Amino acid sequence: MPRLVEAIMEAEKEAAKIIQEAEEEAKRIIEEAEEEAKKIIEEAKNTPVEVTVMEDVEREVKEIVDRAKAKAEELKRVASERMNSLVDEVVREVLEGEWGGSS
Amino acid sequence: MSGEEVVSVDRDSEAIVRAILKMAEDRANAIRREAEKRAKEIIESARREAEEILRSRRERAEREMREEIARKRSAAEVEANQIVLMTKSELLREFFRRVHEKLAAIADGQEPGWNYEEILTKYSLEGANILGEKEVFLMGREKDKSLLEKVAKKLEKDGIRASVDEKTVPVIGGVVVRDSRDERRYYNTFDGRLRAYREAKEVEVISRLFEGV
Repeated sequence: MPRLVEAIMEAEKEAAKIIQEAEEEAKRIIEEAEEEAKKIIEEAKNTPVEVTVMEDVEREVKEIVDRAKAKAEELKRVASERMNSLVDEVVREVLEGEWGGSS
Repeated sequence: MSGEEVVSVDRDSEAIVRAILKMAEDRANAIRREAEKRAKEIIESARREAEEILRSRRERAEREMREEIARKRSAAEVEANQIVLMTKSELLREFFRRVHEKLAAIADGQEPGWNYEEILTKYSLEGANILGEKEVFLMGREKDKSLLEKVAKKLEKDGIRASVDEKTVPVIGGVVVRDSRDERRYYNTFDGRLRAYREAKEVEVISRLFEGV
């Protein structure tokens, strides 16, 4: 009988070792997974993000300003055509109209 | 213990040992499986979180990009408005500079078609009538004094005794009519008329100058 007890004790020792090894391996597996998870999240935080906005704003800005410059040129052209006759008209209105003074 | 008994004990212990080890192996396998399952869950959860982080960063970057585009567009529109407004403002300033120049030329007798003496006469008479005075003083530019003397003489036929004031006024042209006690004055100068005209009609001038553009 002592041999049986001895064999069982040995087997239990061996079983405890097997379980302990498995627990250590499990701990390692989980630690590795946690490490990998950290890396995945860290990578998501730092990966450059590509944005696809389909608008050529620089071209649009240039067009807006160019249109205004063209309008300014047109204003100058039109005003210079009208200016002389309008000056004469306004001078006449100033001198002959009811703008006379204040007392 | 007989030989047979020893063999039997050995067989029993072997079976027990095997059973114990089998149970341990099973337990160890279960522990590993559980760990692998948990590890898989951890990784999947991290992937979901990473996806969410990326989606949120993409959304934020797109929003910022759209805001930047709106800012640039708005700044361009402000710049465009300024270009047009400044051009209009310069042209309007130039317009009234020319009006001013022409009024000064008229006052200096350099504009055919305009008789400055007649203008002064009309303005002086208008001033005297508005003041309701039969005796008035006329004030004008230093260089208009002799012209105002002539005007004063002309006013006599309208029953108004006019004198030229020693004091002068710094104006483009025109006259200031005052009563003999200098209690009331009537300003009929080119400067005042132009100022009043601009106040009343500048919007109309702008419209006529730039209409259709």
